[in-house]
Amino acid sequence: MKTWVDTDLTSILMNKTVSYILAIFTIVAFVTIVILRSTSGFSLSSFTPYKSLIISGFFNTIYVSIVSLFGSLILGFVFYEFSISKSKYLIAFTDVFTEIIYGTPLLVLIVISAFVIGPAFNTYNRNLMGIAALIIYMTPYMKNVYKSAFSSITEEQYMAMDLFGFTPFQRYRYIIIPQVIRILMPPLMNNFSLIIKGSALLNVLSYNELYYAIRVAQSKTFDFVEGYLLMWVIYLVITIPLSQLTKYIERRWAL
Amino acid sequence: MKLELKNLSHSYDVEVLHDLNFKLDNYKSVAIIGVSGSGKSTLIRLLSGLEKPTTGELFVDGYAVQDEEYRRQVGFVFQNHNLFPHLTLKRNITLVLEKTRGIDKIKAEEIALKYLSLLHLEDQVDKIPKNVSGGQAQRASIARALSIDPDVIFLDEPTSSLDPILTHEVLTAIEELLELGKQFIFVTHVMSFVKDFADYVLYMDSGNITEHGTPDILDNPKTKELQGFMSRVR
Amino acid sequence: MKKILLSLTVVLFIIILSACGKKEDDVLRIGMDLQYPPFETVNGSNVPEGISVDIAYAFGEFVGREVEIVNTNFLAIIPAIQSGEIDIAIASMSITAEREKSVDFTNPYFYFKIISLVNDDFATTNSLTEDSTIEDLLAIVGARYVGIAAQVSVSIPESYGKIVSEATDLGTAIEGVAQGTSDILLMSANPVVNGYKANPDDTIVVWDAFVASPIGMAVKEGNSELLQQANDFIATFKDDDGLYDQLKIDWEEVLLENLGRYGLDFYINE
Repeated sequence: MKTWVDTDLTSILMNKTVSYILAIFTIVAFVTIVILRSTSGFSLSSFTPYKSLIISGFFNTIYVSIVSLFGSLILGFVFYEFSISKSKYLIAFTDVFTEIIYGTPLLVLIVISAFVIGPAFNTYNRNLMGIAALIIYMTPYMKNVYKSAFSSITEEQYMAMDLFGFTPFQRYRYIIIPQVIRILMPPLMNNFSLIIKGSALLNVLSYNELYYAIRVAQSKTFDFVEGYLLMWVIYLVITIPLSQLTKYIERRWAL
Repeated sequence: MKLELKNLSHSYDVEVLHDLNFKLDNYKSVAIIGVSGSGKSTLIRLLSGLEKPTTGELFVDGYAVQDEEYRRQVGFVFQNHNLFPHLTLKRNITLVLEKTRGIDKIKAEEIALKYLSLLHLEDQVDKIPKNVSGGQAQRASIARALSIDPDVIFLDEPTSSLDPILTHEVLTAIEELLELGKQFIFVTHVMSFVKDFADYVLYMDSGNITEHGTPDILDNPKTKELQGFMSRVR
Repeated sequence: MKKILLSLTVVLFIIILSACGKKEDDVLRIGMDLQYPPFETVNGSNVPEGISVDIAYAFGEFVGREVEIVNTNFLAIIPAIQSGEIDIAIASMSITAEREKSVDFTNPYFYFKIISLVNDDFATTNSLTEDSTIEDLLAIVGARYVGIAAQVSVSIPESYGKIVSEATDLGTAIEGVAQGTSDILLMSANPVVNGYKANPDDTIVVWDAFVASPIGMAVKEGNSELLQQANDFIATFKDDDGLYDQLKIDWEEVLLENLGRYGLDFYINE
């Protein structure tokens, strides 16, 4: 027979909020143990002189990610159009391009763009080439997102649009784009998250994004434990709200 | 209405309509029946101007079906409701009225609600198609077709994707519309509906209009094709 | 709509390619990797600072040209010289025969004594102290060396027949020694001492230098004009009130504090 203690305890443990709190607590406990075992005095003081560098790094990470997001949105759309075009060459080009990019690690793409392709065209702006690499890397993923989004508009809807005589502008503005955006949003946000995480690799170009900033700040004191944890937390500060936003949008806009 | 088909042929990969020539006058409600693949869906699409014939011409009430003016007077109800999935039932109608017919917001809402009520959908006006039954969605589609105040309403197997109960619900709603004084051309499998609602019937077989006449041809078929069809439809 | 986007992309592309055209000929582009304090680093606002930075600007004054410090990953410096991206590297780069194949070096202006960071337990086991000699170190069989890829940190132990595992960056190498996955790291004095200070319980410094690695400036092969200017510049360092004296004024304290033992002379003398 269940006593009132059992019932209440079970219902407490079954409570969703409590479960989440416990889960977070587990992770924090793990991290704390790691810290205690790695270093005697945990202190972020060596990083304070580099505060503005790190803050720049933080904003540069966001800036670079947004630029890359828009770049890949545009280029992804271009390749999407190629992939549904009537030109066999364009379809083939898109295929070959996609295969190559899928097979190339982002780090490799970044260094090749900045140190090989750039100089070949007299371009020494490494940062620009790095961003270009990030954009190109994400383009196939964006192309796929467009493909699934646009294919969700059925033939029947086009028939209805024909029937009532909607102009092309009206079709896009009121019928096609509102639907396509709902479908685009979640994978787009995911891609954005990938871009943010990938931006850390731009550090090899000595670009002052977050990873680089903390590495420089570490270069004197080698406070790795504090440095990497700080870096980790800051990345989470960017990516976690983003993923929560994505979930919220998915819920609100789901068709 | 007046219907006229002149040397009408239509092909997709194969020819589905073979050189049809036909004339009809003074009927308000025309049913097109036949087995799948007989060409009836194709014919109704061509009659409504949704598709262009490969060769030949069609005329409805004196208009060539590709005529802009004619096409604006046409209402069409598809087999699958073809409502825009991201809009409410009401918005599905007001969007059409506001953007393609230039009607102002307030009037558009009035019209939309009027027809949605006519089709007994007062409680569903703010729902999206996903959240209503198939029958309700189809009725909303009919309301949308009516809202543009068409002269002729085409219905292409409006109940094929519905179960018997919903079918009955939709067909009953359509019958109530007879009083509106509109003209109908429809394709259907439901013979009882043909008998109740049509005043002329076209029976199609393999791309030809094999037999046609008032609905009593269903009880007294002359051609063996129609005889065969009716015996299987029992 | 599709056409608009297509032409937009083409336009974007053209803008990008043209926006990064040729650099001004007058500006002297000096490359270094700003992750090695106190010679090459940045301050809290990401402005280059350090001994090499001071030398760079002084050189600019000497030849009457504006200086641009180009922050370049150490591994990318020589390629950057070869491609013309930078004109000269003042990056505390050791003059080695290998590198001579790719670039032209000036006369040495510093000598970086290559000393060792040794894992504490390893040191205890092998009775090593701060004052042990390099012979003591080299005598130990099976010692695990770690070094920074493409630097003397690797090539020096290898020249003694040792096997060296390569790390791509300083931090990793130091962590390796501190954690005991490696035993000995050879590096110039500053990073070794910094590494020790970061891990005082896990490492010790062995001060006996393996070699005093000559440090030179590097220019593109065949760029004899710039090379001559740089050598002329270096020749002035020893003058009264020459660069050495000036650097001492600015950096002596910092260096003393860093190394705990020595000042700028540690780098000037062979």
